[in-house]
Amino acid sequence: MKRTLYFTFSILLFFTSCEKEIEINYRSVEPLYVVEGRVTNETAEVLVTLTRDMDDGSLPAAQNDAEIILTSSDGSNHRLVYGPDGYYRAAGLTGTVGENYTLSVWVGGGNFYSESTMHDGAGIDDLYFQWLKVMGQKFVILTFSFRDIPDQENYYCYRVWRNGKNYRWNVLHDRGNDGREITLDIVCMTEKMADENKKDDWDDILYEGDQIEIELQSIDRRTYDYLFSLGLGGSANTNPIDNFTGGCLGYFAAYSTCRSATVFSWSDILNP
Amino acid sequence: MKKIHILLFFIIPVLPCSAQTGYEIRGRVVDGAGGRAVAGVTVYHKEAPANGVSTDPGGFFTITLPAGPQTLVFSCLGYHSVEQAVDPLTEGELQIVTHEDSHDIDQVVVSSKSARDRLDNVLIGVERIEISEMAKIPSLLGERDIIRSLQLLPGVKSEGDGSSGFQVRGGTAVQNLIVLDDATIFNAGHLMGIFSTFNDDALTNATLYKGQIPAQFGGAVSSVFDIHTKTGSMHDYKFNGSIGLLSAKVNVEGPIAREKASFFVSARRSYVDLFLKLTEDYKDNTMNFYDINAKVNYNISDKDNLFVSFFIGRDNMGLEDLVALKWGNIATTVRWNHRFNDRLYSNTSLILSTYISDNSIEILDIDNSLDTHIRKYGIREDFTWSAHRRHTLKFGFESVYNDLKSAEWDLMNYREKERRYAWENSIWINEDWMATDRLTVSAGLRLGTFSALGGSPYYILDADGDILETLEYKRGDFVKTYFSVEPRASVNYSLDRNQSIKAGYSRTFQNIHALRVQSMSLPMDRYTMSSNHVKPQTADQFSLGYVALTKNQAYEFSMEGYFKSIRNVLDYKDGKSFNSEIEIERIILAGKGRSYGVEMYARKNTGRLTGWVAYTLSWSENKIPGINGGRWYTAGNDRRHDVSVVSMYDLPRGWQMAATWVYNTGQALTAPSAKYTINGETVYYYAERNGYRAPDYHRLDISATHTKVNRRYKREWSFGVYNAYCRYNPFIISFEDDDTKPSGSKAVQTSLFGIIPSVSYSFKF
Repeated sequence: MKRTLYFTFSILLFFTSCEKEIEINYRSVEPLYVVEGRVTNETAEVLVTLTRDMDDGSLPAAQNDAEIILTSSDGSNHRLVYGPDGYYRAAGLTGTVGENYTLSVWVGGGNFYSESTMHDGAGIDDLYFQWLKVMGQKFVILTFSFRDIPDQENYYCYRVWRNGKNYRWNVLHDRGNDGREITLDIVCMTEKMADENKKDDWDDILYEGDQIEIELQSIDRRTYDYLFSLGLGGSANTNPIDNFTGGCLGYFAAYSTCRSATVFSWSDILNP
Repeated sequence: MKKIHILLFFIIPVLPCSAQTGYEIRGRVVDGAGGRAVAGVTVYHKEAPANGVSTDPGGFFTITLPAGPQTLVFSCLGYHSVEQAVDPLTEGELQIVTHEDSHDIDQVVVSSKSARDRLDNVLIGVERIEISEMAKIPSLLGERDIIRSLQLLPGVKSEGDGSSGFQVRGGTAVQNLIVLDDATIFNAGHLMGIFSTFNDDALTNATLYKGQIPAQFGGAVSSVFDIHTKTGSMHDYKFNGSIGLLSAKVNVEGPIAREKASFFVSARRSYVDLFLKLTEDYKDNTMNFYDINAKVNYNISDKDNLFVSFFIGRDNMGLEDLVALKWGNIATTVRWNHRFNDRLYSNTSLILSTYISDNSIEILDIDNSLDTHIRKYGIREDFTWSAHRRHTLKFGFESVYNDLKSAEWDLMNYREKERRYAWENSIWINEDWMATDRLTVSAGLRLGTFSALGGSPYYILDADGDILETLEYKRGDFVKTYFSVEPRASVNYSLDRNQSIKAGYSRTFQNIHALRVQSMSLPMDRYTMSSNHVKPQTADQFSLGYVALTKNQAYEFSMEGYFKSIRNVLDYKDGKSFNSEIEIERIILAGKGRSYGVEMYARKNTGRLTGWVAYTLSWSENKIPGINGGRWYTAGNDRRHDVSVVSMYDLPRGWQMAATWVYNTGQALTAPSAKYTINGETVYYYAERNGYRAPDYHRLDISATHTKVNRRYKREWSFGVYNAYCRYNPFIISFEDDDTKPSGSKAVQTSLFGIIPSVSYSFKF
C-alpha cells in the first residue's frame, strides 16, 4: 500500500521564534470579479462574488446580475439561473464523464471564459483516525485510502469537512502509483493541543462527536495546476495562476466526486 | 604575553638591475614562529607606496627600488607590519622580527596597514576580511563567523536572520562565488544557515570582490569571496581549542618533517544533539554539524612547494527515523607551486569539489526523498610574471567538468531525476600596470566557453513550459556551447599620498544557476546549468570610488558608487515550486535585473576605541516577463538604507568590549491589496510584487572578552549578548483571518531570534 502524508514540520521548532501582529497600510484596488464554477456528477453551479478591501470585514456578497452559459463538448448549451442561495444553476443539470465543458460568464462589462474536462471518479475504501508519535508529541492523523483509476493520468483534490465547514484540503497526482491503492495521512492536531484547548487552535482541534466528511474529487490537469498554485500562494504571497481568460479571479472545474463520512471519537483512534 | 614571531629574510639580498630603472631586491618572507612561507604579503616602498608587489605562495617577491637608503614596508593580514630600512647597493642579508596580532594595541598596526591597502589597491570594491579583527566582533551564540562579519561591510547585506547567505550590491546569495583554496563551495550554511560552514580557526585570509573581479575569477555575476586556509607550522606542534554553547573546536598543527613538511588540521562539531540524547522526548533526534579543514604542505625544493588541502562540512538533521536532512561540501585541492625564476612562478591545481544534499522523509511507511549534487572536477594553471617593475602579468587557464543533479526524487513512489553534464573552459590574462607614480591600472580579459553535454535529455519547450520535443544526445556530445568575453578594468589615481580615486568596469558570466526555495539555507535549492533553454547570466558593473586617509592613518573614509545590470536572472514562475516538475526549465522564467547605489565607509583605526560606520544607499529591481505583468519591480532583496556600526574598545587587564549595531530598511514585501473567497476560504489578491515594506530591521550585539596569557597557555572567556534590546525583527510576514477584528484579517510577523546570551571558552597552548 502506498501512502502519502500531509505534514509540515516546523523547522523553527528549535529556536526562540515569536509571533506578533503588525500594522500594514494596505493600498486598495478596484474590485475584481471572482467566479467559482463546478460541474460534477452531483451538481452544476456557479458563484460570482467580488474582491473586498483588506479592511472590509463583510462576508462576500453574491452577484446576481451575471449571464452564465455552460457549454458541453457534446454541443449542448445551458443557461444557469441565479437562485436564492446566491448560486447560479440549471435545474437537474449534472456533468457527464469524458465531456469537456466551457463556462462563459458575462458580468459588469467583462466576459470571462474557462474550460475543464470531467474525469472518472474513484471510490474511498477506508477512513479512520490513528495516532502518530513524532518528537515526543502524539499527533492525531486522519487516514483514508482509495484505488487510483488505472491506465490514465489522474489528479485528485481531497476536501475534509468538519461539521460542514472546511477543515483540510490538498491536491495530488497519481504519478508512480497508477492503478494502486493510495493512502493519505492528514495531520489534524496534537494531543497537547486538544488538552490545552487554546483559542488559536480551535480551528484545528477536533472535538468528540464532530461530523467528519471527506470528499475526493477527480480533477483535470488545469484544475490541479490552479489549486496547487492556490495552495502555494498562501505561503509564498503570490496569486494563483489564471484559470479564466478575461481578467476575473477564481476557477472552473468539472470533476467526479465521491464522499465518505465518520464521527470523531477519542476512543476510536487506532494505534498503528 | 606570548609572542609569535615572524622572521623576514632576504635570501638574495641585492641584485643590481639596470642603472636606469633602479635596483632589484628579491627575497622571501617567512613566518618566524612556524617557518612557513607567507604568501600575499604586500611589500612596498614607503616613500613611493604605489611601488609595491606581493609575495607569491612560496613567500617570494621581487621589487625594484631606486638607489640610496630607503624604507620597505611588509604588511600582511594577521601579521604585524614591518618597516625595514634598506640600501639596495649595500644591504646584506636581513632578518626582521615582529609580533602576531593580539588583544592589545598591536591590532592597530594591522588595521592601519589595511587602510593603506585599501587606498593603494588598484581594484575597486575589494574587501579583505581580517580574521583577527573578526574575532572581536560579537557573535551569535559565541560562534565567530566570517560571513556574519562580512555582512557588516558596506554593500554587503545579510539574506535574513536564518541564513548564512550574503547579498552583494543588489545581487542574490546564489550569484556569489565562494572559493576555499580554489575549490567552489555551495550553500555555505550550517544549521539551516545560522552559521557559515567556515571555521575561522582554519582561515588565514579572505577577500571579497564586490566591484572589480580580477580576470582569474569567473562564474559569478555578483561577487567572488576568495578564502584561504592555514598552513601548519614547520617548527613546533601546537594545539588549541574552544568550547562554546553550540560547538567545540580543536586545531592541531606541526611539522611532519622539520623545515620540509607540515600539517594543519582543524575540526569543529556541534553538540546540541548530545543534550538531546539526555531528554526522553528528543533522544532519537539528530541535529549536528561538523567541519574539518586539513592541509599538508611539502617543500619539495627551493623552487617547488606542494599543498594538499581538504575540507568537509556536513549537516545532519534527523527527527527520529522519520526525517533525515543531510547536506554539505567536500573540497580537495592539490596545488603545486613552482618558481621558474625570480620573476615567474606558477600554481598548478587539481580541484575536486562536491556539494550534496540528501533528504528523506519516512513516516507511516512513506518513503519520500529528494537528492541533489554538484560535482566539479577541474584543473587550473595560474602564472604570475613580474615582467618589469611596473608590469605584473597574471595569466592562466582552467578546465572544469561539471556533473550536476538538479534533483532526484522519490515522491509518493514516483521516481524521477534530472542530471546534466557540462564542460567549462576559460583562459585569462590580467596586467597590473603602474603607469606613473600616481596612476595604476589593472586590466584583464577572460575568455570562456561553456558547453552543455549530452547524456541526459534536453527539451524544446513551448511558452507554457510544456515539452514539445525531447532531444536525446549521447554522453559527451555537445548540445549547446556559449562563448563569453569578459573584459575587466580598474584604475587607481592617487591625488596625493593619502587620497585616491578609483574607477572600474567588469563583465561577468555565470553558468551554474540556483533557485532558492526561501531565504533559509535549507537544502531545498534547485540548481541548473546553462543549456539550450537557459542562457548564461551576464552582468556589467561600473563603479567609481574615492578613498582618503588622515595623515597618521588614524581615520579613513571611502565612498563608492556602482551601477550593475544583469541579464538572464532566473526565478520560479508564479504558482510553481521546486518540486512542481523535475525538468526545472519548465518552471522557471528569465528576465533582467539592475541595481545601483552608493556605499560610504568611515573608520577609526587607532587608539583604544576602533571600529567603523558603513552606510549603503541602494536600489535593486527586476523585470521578468510573466511576473508583475512584465513591469519592473522592486527585487526581494532591495533595502534602501543599510547601516552598520562596529566598535571595539580595549580596557585594561585583558578585557575587551565590542558592540555592533545594524539597521536596514525593511525588506521588500508582497502584501495583498484585496481579499476574496474561494471554497469558503479567504484568498489574498496581490496587485504588485514586492510593493510593500516589512518593518525595519535593527539589532544591537555586545560582547566582552577576557584574555589571560601566561607562559604556557592563553585562555579566553567570551561573553556575548545577541540582539541586546530584544528587537523582534521580521523573518516571515503572513496574512490570515481574524474574526475578532472588524477587518476580519490581520498581518502576522514571525521573528526568529529574541535576546540570546552566550558564553564561550577557548584555550591555546
